[in-house]
Amino acid sequence: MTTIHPPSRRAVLLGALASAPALAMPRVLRAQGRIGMLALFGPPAGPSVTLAHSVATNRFADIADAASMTAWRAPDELRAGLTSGTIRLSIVPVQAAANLYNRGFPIRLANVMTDGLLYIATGDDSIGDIADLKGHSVAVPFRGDTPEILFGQLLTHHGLDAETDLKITWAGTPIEAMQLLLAGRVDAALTAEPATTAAVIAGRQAGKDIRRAINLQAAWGQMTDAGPVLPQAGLAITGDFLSAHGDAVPALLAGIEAATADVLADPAKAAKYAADALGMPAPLLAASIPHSNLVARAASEARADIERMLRTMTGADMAAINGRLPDDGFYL
Amino acid sequence: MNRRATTKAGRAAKTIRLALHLLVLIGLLAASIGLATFAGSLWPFDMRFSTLIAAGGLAVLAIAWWPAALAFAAIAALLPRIRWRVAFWPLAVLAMAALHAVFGADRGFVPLGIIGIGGTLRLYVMSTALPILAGSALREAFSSNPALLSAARTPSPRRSSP
Repeated sequence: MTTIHPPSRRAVLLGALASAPALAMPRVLRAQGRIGMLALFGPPAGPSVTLAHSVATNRFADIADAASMTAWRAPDELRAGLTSGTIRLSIVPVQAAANLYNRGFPIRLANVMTDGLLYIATGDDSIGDIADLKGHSVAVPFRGDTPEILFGQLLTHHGLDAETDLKITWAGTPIEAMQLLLAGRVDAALTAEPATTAAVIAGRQAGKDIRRAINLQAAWGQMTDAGPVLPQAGLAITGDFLSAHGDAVPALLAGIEAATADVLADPAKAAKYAADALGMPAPLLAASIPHSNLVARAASEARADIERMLRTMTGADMAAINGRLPDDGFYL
Repeated sequence: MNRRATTKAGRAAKTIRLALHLLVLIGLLAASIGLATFAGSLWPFDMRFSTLIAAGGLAVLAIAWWPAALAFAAIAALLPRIRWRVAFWPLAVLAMAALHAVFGADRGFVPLGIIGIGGTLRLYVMSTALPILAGSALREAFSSNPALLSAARTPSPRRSSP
């Protein structure tokens, strides 16, 4: 027979002392433990600078032993990573995240990290608005992707037919669009940062005045009677991560918010941190940051802007997001 | 024996002249990169990006003005003395500035009135130097037999006689 002795007063005191540090820890750590390696992913573009800066400045030291930022090169790489589980936290185009969510993939949008980084670049002084593109040749990358869909909507709104009123030259990448513009083979190019900045810098060096003639965010705001906001991409988190470390998300988002302020305050320093992670030159990133509309807005706060964008860009059938707007569960 | 020595000396002189052209080329490329970095405010400095932007700028100019570049190379190859080729460089820059003023805007370049004389000169100083250097290097590489050239340079008996 086993006799159970009540704990002595000394044992109780020792136990309390031993557990004091644990009680002082943030709630997230008590509940789910620290994250060993916080692996963040993103595209080789503006918003990833913020993540790279967060990692470089140890913004996640409270929740993770180590953190990394890796750039994916193509949406296919992102999709493969998400489905295989190797990518659990990544900056994702909002439309792509909504599509995955509506198709049953366990993914949620935590925040919006850019309010849009699309421009029409040109050296032609006569182009200053979407309507001015009539009769001009335009290089368009991202065929079938968000920027092209948005551009198509803007053309339609201004009464232009992409097939008859413009000469569209499809480009494989924004950099290819930029090269077509610099070589004088097109009058204008639809580009995203940092490719737009690259076009401006390269144009200056070649004696050409390439400028951001049309801010697509502003044009979009005019079209939808709203602010100049295109919530193009944000941090998406998979169900796997949320199950394992969901309590760490508020600290994660707070770290990103603080890093965003740092990046905007000192783009050169942020670019230096991000250059290796993104595989892009620091001076290019530094010059593109002021035009990348970097933000850190909670997804639930940005919901109205997101829904406006998704509704307008996907048309009546919303086929690009599986026929409906994402429900409450999408917004973290 | 004397002829063989003359040939060797001629070849060595040609090699030195071509090596000098190579050095000048390296200097011009370095200057182009420096100019691109400072003019474009490409900070923090990234050697690869500055090189890319400098090369891109030169390529755009070469594509836009290739007949002029070809003409500069040909003229440099025809000029027999190096000092004449060097003197041809500022003339070529001025010629490009004139071409820019007349045809530049139609070819998508910033008009002379906006870019200014200084900007125009900065734009063409390297892009004209390179074809002239190429023409000069071609002249040196394919010039007549160095032995004969050296022989031609040896003092004549009449001049060397007391």
